[in-house]
Amino acid sequence: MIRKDKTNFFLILPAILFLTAFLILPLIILLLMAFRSSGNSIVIDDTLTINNFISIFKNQSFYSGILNTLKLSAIVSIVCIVLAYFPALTLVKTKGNTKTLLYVVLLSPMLTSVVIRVYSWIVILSSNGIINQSLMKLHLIKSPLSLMWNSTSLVIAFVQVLLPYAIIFISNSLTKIDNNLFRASNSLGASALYTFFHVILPLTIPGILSSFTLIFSLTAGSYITPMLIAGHQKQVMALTIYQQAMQIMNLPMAAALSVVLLLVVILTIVITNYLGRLWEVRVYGK
Amino acid sequence: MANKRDYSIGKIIFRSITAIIFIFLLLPTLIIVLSAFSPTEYATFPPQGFSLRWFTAVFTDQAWVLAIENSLKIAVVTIPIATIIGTLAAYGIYASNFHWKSGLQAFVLSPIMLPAIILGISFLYLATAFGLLGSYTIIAAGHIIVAIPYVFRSVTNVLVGLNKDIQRASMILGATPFKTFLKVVMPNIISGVFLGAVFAGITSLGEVSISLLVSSSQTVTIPVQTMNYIDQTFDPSVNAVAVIFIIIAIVLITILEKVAEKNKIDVF
Repeated sequence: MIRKDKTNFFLILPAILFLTAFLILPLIILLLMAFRSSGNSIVIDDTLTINNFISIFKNQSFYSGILNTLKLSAIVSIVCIVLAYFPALTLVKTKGNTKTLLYVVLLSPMLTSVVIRVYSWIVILSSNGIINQSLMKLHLIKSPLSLMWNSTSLVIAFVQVLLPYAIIFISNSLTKIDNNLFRASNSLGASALYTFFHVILPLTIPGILSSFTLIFSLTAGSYITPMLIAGHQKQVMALTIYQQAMQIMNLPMAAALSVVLLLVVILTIVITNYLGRLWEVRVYGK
Repeated sequence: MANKRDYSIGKIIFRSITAIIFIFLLLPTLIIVLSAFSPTEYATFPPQGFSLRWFTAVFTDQAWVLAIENSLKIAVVTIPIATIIGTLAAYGIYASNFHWKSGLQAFVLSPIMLPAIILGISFLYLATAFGLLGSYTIIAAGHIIVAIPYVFRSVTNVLVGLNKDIQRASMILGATPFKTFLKVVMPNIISGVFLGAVFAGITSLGEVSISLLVSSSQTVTIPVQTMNYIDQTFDPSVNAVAVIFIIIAIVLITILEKVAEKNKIDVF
C-alpha cells in the first residue's frame, strides 16, 4: 500500500507544484503587498504597516461598497437558487434528445465568454438597444428608458450568467432523490406543493448550499460584469479593487482591499453553510 | 408520472415559468446571432436584412486577427497542460488512501471558487514581481489554473463509476501502478478526459478576469479585445466574434453531451 500511495503522490505532484506556483505564491505576494505602505506604486519600501487597513476602515465609501457587494451577491444567489428548481425538475424528468437539447440551451450561455454574455445584455438594454428601439418604434415611449446602469440590470446580467451553475447543482441533488419518495408522497395524497416543500426542498439542501457558495463567491469577485453593466454608478468592492490597481495604481491598497474582500466572502460562506447544516439537522434529526 | 395531474393549473404555471427561464437563458445568444448578420451599423431587432459584412470586418481587422491568433496560441498550450495535470491529480487522489484526501480535492478545485478579482490581482503582482507582465507565459498560466478544476471534476466523475477490481486485477498480474494507469484505467476514463479537455478549451477561450489585468497590447486575447471594443464603440463586429464563439460552444457542448450520455456520466 505504501508503494502504491507513493505512486499516487507522484501523480498529484504536478498539480500541487502548479497550484503552489500559481495560486499559493501569488496569494502570498498579495498578502505581503497588503501590508506595504501605499502611495508610490513603483518603489515600494520594505517596511510592513497596517495603515492600508486603517484607512480602509476609516473610509465611509468602503462600507457602502461592501454593503453593495454583500447585497448584490446575496440577491443574485437567492434568485438563481429559486429559479433553478424549475429547469432542474424538468431536466431530471426528461430523457434522450430532448434532454440533450435542454442541456445545450442551458449550458450554451455558460460556454461563451462572460464578456460576450454581458455584452448581449448591453445590446438588449442600452438606450439604443433592442428594448428601447422596439418601444420607440411602437410609439409607446418618446425618449429611451434608462434600463442600464442600475442594480436591476446588474442582477439580471449576473443571474443569466450564473443560473446554469445553480441548475446543475440542484439537478444533481435531485437525481440522488429516490423516485419512490415522490410516488409515496403523491399516493399519500400530498399536493405537488406540499411534496416540494416537505420532500424535495429538504433533500436538496446540499445543492442549495453548493449553489450559494459558488454563486456568492463568483458574484462578489466579478469586476467584469459591474464594469460593463453598471459603470461607476454602483460601486462594488471588486470594481474598487480593479480601479485601485489599474487606474489609481495604488497596488498596496488594492491588495489590502482584496484581503478584506476574501475574508468577507469566506465569512459569509462559512456562516451560510453553518446555518444550512442546522436546517438539515432540524429536518433529519442528527 | 403521467397521470391526470399533468394538466392541472399548477402544472401549467410550472411549465410556463420553466419555459420563460429557458427563453431568458437563450435570449441574449439569440439576439447576438441575429444582430451579427445585420447589415446596419446599429444592432436592430428584428433584423433589416442579411449580411456577412461584420464577419469580413473581423477577419480584415488587424486587432481582431491578432486577438484570435493570441487566443488560439494560448488555448493550444492550456488544453494539454491543464488536461494532463488535472487528469493525473484526479486519478492520484481517487486511488490514494491519504488522510487529507478531501482537503487535497478542495485545494485542486479552489481556483474556480476564489473570487475572480482576487486571483486576477494576485496574478498581476506575480507577473510584476517576476517581470512576466504582458507575457504569454503568465496568461497561459492563469488559464491553466482556472482550467484544471474543470478537468479534475470531469475525470473524477468518470472515475467514481469505475470498477476498482480491474485495477486490482492488473496489479495482481504484476503490472506497475504506472502501467496500470496507462493501460487499464486510461481507456476507461478517456471520455472524462475528453470532456475535461473540451472544458479547458472553453475556459481558456473565454477567460477574461486574469487576462485583462496581465496582458499587454501585443498579447490581447479575444475576450480582452472585446472588452476594449465595448468600452469604445458599439460595433456589430463584436457580434460577429460572439457568433463564432457561440457556434464553437454549441458544437462542443453537443459533442460533450453525446459523449456523456453514451458513457452514462454527468457532464458536471
